[in-house]
Amino acid sequence: MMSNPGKASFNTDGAISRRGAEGRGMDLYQRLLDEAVENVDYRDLIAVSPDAAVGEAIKQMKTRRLGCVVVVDNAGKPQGIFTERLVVKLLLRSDGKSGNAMAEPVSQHMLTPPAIVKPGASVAELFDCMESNKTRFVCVVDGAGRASAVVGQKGVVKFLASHYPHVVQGNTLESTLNVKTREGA
Amino acid sequence: MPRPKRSSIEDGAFRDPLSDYSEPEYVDNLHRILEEQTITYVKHQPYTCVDESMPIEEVLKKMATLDIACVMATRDGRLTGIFSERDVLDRVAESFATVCHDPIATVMTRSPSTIYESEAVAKALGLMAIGGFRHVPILNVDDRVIGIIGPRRVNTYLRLCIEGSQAA
Repeated sequence: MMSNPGKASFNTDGAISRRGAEGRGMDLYQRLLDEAVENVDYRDLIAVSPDAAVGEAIKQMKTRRLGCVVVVDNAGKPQGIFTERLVVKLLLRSDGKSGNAMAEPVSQHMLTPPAIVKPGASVAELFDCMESNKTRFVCVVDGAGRASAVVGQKGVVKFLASHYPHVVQGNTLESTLNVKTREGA
Repeated sequence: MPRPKRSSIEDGAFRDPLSDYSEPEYVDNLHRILEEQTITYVKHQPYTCVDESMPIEEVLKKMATLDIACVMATRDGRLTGIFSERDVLDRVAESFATVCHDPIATVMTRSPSTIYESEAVAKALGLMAIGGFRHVPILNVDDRVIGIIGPRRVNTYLRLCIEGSQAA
């Protein structure tokens, strides 16, 4: 759930005023408050029904290269989220039956309630949502509350980096220049 | 052909090569932080290293107990690979029973992208945003691991900077 629904709450407790942000990345601060979650890179949603097997969820996460699946009900509303972190814990089940866990329904192991955000919410709210839920992924829901996409922490990093494109690109290029021999040698 | 006369301090032609140096201009304070602060300003500890010969099952237990997303694998104290939840999904989950006693070296991602402790925060941001790396080990000048950063640590750091809580 969002920590402060309906409020641009990057400074959740109101401790930091806008004045305090002047000269400290003010434009970016403003962007975080003004721009909507839909400006962050969405990841394609992997939605499964509650009775889908854990093994099937894992297969889909692997094939589609996403760290989570969203468990949805018949109406498409998110009921829970199943993540890579849970896979590690399942493999180590104390009963030694990790193999059987693959056949169990994903709803038995998912995290509930899922962290959700609306596309119109600000990026600052998304930031808050991730921190308060201590989660890497947040499910984006449409007006009817149906799951439509997923945003992850990497998307937020990309959003922040996009504010300083030359800085980030320049630094990445430098890191890839592994010159072995001298020019002309 | 006569060689051009080299200037020297004595003949008064010396010119300070830095006389036209101008300080870099930053659009805002966060821009300055990204360029000037080294990656060690970002929280990069705790971190976990294991020997690359450690069995996969032991590594998973460590990850679950410490509630961490990845470990760094070393041989003789040198970084050789990284093993994250993504590797668990890709190479372990579906064959855990048969590979659980194998060494981590068989399933880890080798030669991960790294960053030196003296490099700027901007480089880490670039590696993540453009390179797509989630976890980036930090090395010292002797190529020894001194920490690791991930999106959560970077995001938290930038947030603190924006809010002005971070000493700039």
